[in-house]
Amino acid sequence: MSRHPLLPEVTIALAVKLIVILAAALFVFSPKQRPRIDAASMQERLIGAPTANPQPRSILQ
Amino acid sequence: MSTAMDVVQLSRLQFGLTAMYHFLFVPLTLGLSILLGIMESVYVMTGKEVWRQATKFWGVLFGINFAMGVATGITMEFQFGMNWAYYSHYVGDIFGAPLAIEGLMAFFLEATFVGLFFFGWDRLSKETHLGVTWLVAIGSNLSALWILIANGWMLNPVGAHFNPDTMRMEVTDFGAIIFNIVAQEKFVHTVSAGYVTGAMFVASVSAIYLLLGKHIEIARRSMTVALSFGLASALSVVVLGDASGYTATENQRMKIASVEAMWETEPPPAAFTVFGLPNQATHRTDDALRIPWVLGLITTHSLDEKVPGITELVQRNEDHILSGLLAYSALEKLRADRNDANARAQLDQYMSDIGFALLLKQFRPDIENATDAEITKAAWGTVPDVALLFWAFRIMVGLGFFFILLFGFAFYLISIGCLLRVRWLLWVLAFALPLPWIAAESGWIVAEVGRQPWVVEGVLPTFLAVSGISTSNVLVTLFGFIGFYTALLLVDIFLMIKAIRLGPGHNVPQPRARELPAASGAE
Repeated sequence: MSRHPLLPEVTIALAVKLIVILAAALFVFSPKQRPRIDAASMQERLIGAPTANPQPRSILQ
Repeated sequence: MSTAMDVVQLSRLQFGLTAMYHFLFVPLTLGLSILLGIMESVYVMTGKEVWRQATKFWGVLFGINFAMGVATGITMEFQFGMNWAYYSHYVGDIFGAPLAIEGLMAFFLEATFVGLFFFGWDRLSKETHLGVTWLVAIGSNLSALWILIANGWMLNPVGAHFNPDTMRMEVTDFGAIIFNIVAQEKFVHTVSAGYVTGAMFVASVSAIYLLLGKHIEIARRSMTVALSFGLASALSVVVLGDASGYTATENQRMKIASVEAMWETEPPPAAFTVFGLPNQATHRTDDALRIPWVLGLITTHSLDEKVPGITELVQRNEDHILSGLLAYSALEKLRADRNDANARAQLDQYMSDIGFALLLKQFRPDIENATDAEITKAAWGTVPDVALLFWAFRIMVGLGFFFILLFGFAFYLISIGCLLRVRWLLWVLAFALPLPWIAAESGWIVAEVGRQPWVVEGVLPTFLAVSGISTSNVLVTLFGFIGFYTALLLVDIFLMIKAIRLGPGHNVPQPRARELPAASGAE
């Protein structure tokens, strides 16, 4: 198959795009920059600090 | 709390925008890949060179779209880790599996065979190359399947349970996740919308060529394939969309009620509101134009089944919140004593409603002491943006019916050999080019805005899924993504226009004028 006239432009656009995405992955969204969530922090997020005397409502109210 | 809510809104905006940009590329890939398979099949069956040229030409446009669109979805995966870290921890075990399978299986299948498609024309036999082309199409569609399995689980979280020891959802039945009815119906509806997009793209570009009197042979044949495929696809979208709405009545009743701006439950069968001005503050739809029975028939497929209105669903959700508070209380007890068997039993009993109790976290941290007013407010918070859903749905459905009429009429004309003489219809086809994208994006707004306030329906509220990152951090990446994707889109459009101007056959011998058959009728 002969080369398509747009092949260089498509290749350059693809390369630039992949470089930008790779740079974003390395410098903005790298694992070092991500918040670390474990069971304890998830528990803190959902339940928060323990309360002295939780009084759940009854669904029969 | 306002800064935290800003991060929630900005993160939602960022994810929504990147998903919508990504989905500008996806439907065309889905639709064009199948059309390439059809055109090349005709080439292999008939041996006519013009079909090979047509396949190669549309293949170039497919390739540009694929090259520009590939990896644009990966930024959403970046966001799962950065902006949605709590979400990723809480449901990552379930949500991550289909995404990983998509990357490992479907995407690599697609990407590998895309290379063979372009570079294999003179190296592979006709039949082998045809197989390659169909594998590209199958790979593209399998990619969509796995992504929509993940997305469908967020709308209908089946096959998983909450483990209080790890504080995350874990898979109990992977088969249930794969064969999740919501995911399967979303898949067929979404890929059909992609087929409509591909068909409209081919029909529009062919119409432009026919209006300009250029590349008549390829344009006429491409038009025939596009119109027949487009008609079948447009009919599928509507039929499968109806099936999707029927399923949603079981899993996402609030979404249906909001899409219809149906504030109160009506005696069955419910009326369909064609036009109206939903008012979220007054819980009314002003100036409503309604057709009796239609909504009830569409959503329940029966005359005597009720479609619950928003107010009734809100009252039900108040009960879910109270029930969820019992699960929450059990979770607190388990934190104090992991071996508390009674607490585990209580958690198991009420766990399905804990997400509703967590909605109260936006008002106070000690939710077990929530007031009745706060519970009512949280229950009303389960109502998504009614006006946005109402109009997005009507745009999507209106365009869906327009596509059926347009493809149907144009297909009839090309079947009797008249389309090329009806120039106004060619102009309509040319200008209809952006409409499938508008319909598809409106569909995503209905699906995803309609899921709010949940990131996982009934399980995890969106505001609790967002990471504790700074507003400035989200703003920087948000504007970065907007700039990046806009540039990418402009480059894609520029390259597409350039390829369309170059036209088919610039690198293969063109048939001489005396070899061209009469430019009428379909072949």
